[in-house]
Amino acid sequence: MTDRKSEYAKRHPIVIALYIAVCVIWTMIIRHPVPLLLSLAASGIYCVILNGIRSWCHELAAGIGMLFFAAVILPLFSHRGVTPLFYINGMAVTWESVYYGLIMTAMLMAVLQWCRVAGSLIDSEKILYLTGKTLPSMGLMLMMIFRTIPLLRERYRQVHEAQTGLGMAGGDAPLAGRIRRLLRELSVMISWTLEDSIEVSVSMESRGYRTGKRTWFHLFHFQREDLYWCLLIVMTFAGMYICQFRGEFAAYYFPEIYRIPLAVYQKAALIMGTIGMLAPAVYDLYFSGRERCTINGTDGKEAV
Amino acid sequence: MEQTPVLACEHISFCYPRQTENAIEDISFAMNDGEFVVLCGQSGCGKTTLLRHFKKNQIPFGTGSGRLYYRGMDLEQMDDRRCAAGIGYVGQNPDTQLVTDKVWHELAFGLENLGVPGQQIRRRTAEIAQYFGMEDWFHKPVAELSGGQKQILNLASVVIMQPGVLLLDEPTAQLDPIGTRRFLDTLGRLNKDMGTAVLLSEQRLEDVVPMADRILIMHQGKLIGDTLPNRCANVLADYEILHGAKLPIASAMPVAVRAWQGCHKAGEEESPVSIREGRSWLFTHVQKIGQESTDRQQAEKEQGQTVLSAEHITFAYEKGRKVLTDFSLQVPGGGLFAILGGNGSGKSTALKVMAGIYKQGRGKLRVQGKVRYLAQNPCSLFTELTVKEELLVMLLYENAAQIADTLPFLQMKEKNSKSGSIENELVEEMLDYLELAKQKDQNPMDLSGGQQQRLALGKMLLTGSDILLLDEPTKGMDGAFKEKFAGWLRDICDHGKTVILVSHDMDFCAEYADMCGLLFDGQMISRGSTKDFFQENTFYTTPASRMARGILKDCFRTEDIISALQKAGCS
Repeated sequence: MTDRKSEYAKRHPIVIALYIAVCVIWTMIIRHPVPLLLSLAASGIYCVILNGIRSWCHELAAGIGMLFFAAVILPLFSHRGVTPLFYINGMAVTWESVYYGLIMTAMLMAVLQWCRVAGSLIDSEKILYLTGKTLPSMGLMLMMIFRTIPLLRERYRQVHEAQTGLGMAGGDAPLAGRIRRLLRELSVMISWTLEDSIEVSVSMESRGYRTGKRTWFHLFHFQREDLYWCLLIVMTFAGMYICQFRGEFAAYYFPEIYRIPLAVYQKAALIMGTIGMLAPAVYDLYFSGRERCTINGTDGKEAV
Repeated sequence: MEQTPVLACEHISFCYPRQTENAIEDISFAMNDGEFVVLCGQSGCGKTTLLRHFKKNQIPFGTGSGRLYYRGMDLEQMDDRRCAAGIGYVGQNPDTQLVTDKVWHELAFGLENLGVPGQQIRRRTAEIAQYFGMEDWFHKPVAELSGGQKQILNLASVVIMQPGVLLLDEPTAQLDPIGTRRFLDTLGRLNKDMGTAVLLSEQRLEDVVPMADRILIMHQGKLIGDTLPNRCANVLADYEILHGAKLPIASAMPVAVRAWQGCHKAGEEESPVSIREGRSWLFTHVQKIGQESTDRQQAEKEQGQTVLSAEHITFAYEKGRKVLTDFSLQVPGGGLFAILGGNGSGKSTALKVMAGIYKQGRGKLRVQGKVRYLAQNPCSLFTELTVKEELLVMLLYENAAQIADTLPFLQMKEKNSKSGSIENELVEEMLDYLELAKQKDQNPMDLSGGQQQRLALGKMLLTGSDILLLDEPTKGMDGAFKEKFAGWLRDICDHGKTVILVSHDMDFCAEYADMCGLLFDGQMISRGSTKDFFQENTFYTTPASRMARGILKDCFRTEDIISALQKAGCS
């Protein structure tokens, strides 16, 4: 897998958390098909930019599964709506149900894609920053968990190898035997880790833990550019959210499909919002392009 | 102005609960600013207990007496923050001292605890990372570091608090030679550049004694020597004369010290300490006595038939990254075969493939008899609550009588036919054999390192295997115990079993192995009898061989040097 480095991911955690939050919340509260499709498209594009087309195809497969369930299976059992498409056992399968299934799938897909984007942009360090800023003790705990998970995985491997090497594993044992073996290995791993945790706490105290007030150190700088990003996000999304709260994106599907027709300023708000959603994607594309240029440039210089 | 010692203790005694004897007794010494002091002694002599006394939060439970001072201040009355920052402590296990998930955060952890503002932490982490050469892994998760890097990180994250004195409790015991070298170099540089006083406890003294300003020698809880490195040999000799027995730590001393002690002219006061000094000392002798060679009669063991053969084995953990490229090996039965090699050469992997834990990609593996593998860390083996159960569980699915047949060195009185009792007897005999009978009702996790190793060996023997594969069995052992451990291995080999071990420990292999092989880049590069192996290598060889190279022929153990000199009529 190619590890695509996102330039936007290097921005301050607050910027990224804000961006993800407004995108996800927007996608979840909106019912109108047009903004929903725009959100779906924007998240899809950013997903592809961040993780590549192949990984996006997995998402698509999940989407098709959802689509099948929501737009094909559910309408067979839900008979709300007034426009019958056909009848099964005397029950109507309605256009409204199918349409609603499509809309729900689009929403779920969009949320899923935004979460994928969040996964690529937010790493453990940013999570720690965000929790450590608000709840320092929680942050410390989370940090120790992040430390312990790979340690446990490594220890389990060691225990498993050790037990196998002594012939205690019995690969061809019946199921009950294998379960017992697994439990034994897990118990070794846990008692080993508990034994060690005493030493960890000693090491913490030796370095002055619990001697008074702590500070919470991080490597992030809130730069002027981060402020601009926050302003950009607020400004571009404000129009859409205001329209939504004034009920101008209202839509309902039962018993009849009804959407408010969009006026010019609502369309403008949507365009602004979409720009806001895509801005980080454009930023990433711009910088990956520029990085390539500078690499070529230095190559040229070195050749000279 | 008179200098106040940075660290001082007066008449420290300490006794663990429910023990009758003191763990440490009446210890007094003082360390000056910038001194590099090595505290040596065999394991269990009270080194760790003593070191822990200087760290308030680490003083063990029990009854103690005496006074401790840091820069003239009574340790008991110092406030916690000054204590935490002023006295740095680095322990043995690299993994258990790490608290956070990222390297930079680990560095910052101590300063965070002291409430240092962020801007200052930023500057000091940068400084420290620069000094320790950690720029490349500054942002890495700690889980991705090697053992040596982890230990350097542990050192750095203590040094960042700008301590006046560093206490280190066998910091290199779990490291490979290269990691050890790098760690000690860093420590030495720190001591020279910054004037940080260092109190280092160690059992492997080859590398640390030449670095030290002073040596403290402990034995059975008492401080029996406080001396300069080049006078160590005198202390050891005095003890030998006084008590009629060698100090256990004597065998861990640098080769130059041991050679000098074994054979020096009357009137010579100071012993050589480093290899370089040892060589020039040897030169003066050899010039006097003329080039002399020993013809060491190594009882070439008759080679048994091949019990394990690997042919052109390849293995990769993930596609495209082969760990073993073309591994071939024939091991004759009834001997001790040592596989040496650097880090990442695939030693452990080769062992695991031979044990059948991993399946080789290509190649053939032929084995005669039962093969069992003993993992490096005994903690990964113990599943039961007591030592005795730990051994009994091995017989759960096996026929105890058959197993007993494979262990002729156990004095089984009579083979009871009654079911149940034979298992018990076998386990009791094994406990006696490994000298663990006193500990049989203890929890295996509470045993000392050496006892755990012994118990692990016992578990291994009770599988009734014919070929024993050991992964770094000597890690963390002290010299005296190594000797004992080697005795057991020898005994096992003499009874027809085959031992194959991988190790970094060249001294151990030179001393006890019948054959050695060097693994490099996933292939067996060279293989031969231990003597040939170490003679032919120049860099990858024992300290004794490095010291005697070009001066005395055929010397690769300290004993060889001594006997060569003695033969030449010098004593």
